[in-house]
Amino acid sequence: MKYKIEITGGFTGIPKSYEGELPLKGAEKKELLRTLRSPSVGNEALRDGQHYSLSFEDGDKTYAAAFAEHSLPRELRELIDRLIVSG
Amino acid sequence: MCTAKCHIVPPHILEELAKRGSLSCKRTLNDTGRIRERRQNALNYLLSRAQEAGEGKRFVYDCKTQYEQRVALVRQEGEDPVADEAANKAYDTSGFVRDYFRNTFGLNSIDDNGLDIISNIHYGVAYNNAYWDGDEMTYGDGDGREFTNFAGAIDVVAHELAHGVTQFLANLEYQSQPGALNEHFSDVFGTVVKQKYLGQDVSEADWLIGDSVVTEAFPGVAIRSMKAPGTANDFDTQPDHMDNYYNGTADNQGVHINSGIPNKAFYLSCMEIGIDDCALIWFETLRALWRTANFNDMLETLVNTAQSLADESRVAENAVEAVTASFAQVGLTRTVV
Repeated sequence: MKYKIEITGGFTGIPKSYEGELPLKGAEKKELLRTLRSPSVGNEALRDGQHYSLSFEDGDKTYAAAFAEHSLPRELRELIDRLIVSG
Repeated sequence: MCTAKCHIVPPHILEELAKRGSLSCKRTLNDTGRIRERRQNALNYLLSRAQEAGEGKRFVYDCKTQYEQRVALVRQEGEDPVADEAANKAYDTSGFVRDYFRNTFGLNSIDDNGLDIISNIHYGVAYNNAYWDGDEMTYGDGDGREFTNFAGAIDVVAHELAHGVTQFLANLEYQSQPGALNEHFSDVFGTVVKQKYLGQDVSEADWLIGDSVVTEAFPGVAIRSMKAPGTANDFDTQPDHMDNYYNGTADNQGVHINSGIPNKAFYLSCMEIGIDDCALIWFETLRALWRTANFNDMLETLVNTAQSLADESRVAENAVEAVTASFAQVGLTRTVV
């Protein structure tokens, strides 16, 4: 599926955008969609946190979610790292 | 008949039902009282604990490139330098910021109650950010392409630590104008501490924020400019006048964007009466502000604070005029009631 990741805000305030293709199998896809609906609980007093907007296109369906620094699930952090570093 | 649902019934109704002979309501009433008493005792305990002042000790933790804070303690107050230079930098710079606030304003650490100063370094993988999370600071190493280690920059450390000071003094909410003021105060003390750290005066300072965390490949010289908001890099959209105020929803309604307006006014004020007088006026203003304060509230409080400090001969006689004129140059004038 196609992905688009937008990272905004943070101390730098400089927006970053990443797009590409993410090959996922059935179980992996299901897990990703579950994680998109599972924000973490963190400290809302956080200052200079980044904002993360993620969207995934799977055929004619688009799955999208937005997170704050404190609510981004660890699985998505690791996925973002994998996509950005390898991309 | 009174059932377990009595727990959500107000006490006066429980009392009335108990008076009419309901044993279950009487029991519930008693239980509620005991729970309230236990809660009160717990609250009193927490409050009495909170009154015990700490010593503002420094602790530096290595996150080991995980997205986890406090993974491994690498250096704490009084210990010798370690092999990791980033840890030593975080230790030294956070100590400099702590000492500046203590020696200049008598502030006992971030919360004025000796809160320990926790720094987390090497956070995440190529993480291009630094943040204050309500209790402690966290720094990424940067991606090495455009950004370098955030923990090593005195203005970044001062900026993040100042978020903590703001949280405990004014707790400015993090959106729209109060949020832009929150960012503004962090940039103010970031640049003040940087100039002290480097031994500069206002004429030789560069008034840049984050110039030492960007690489040569980065399209710009810094993250922000107090002197010339909007010019620090190719992405810098900070306005330097209310005419260009950002009204969008991004960045919590522009907290890192519209802070350029008071930032420019601070720079102009410093050029008139010096950075030490301005730092005192701004710090005392921060003490006086409140959660929802906007730009006009800020200006009104700044002027009143400057007047009080000038009356006590603690700042220049012309402080009120300097502050008023500086804000007028960025399009902010006092509201006449």
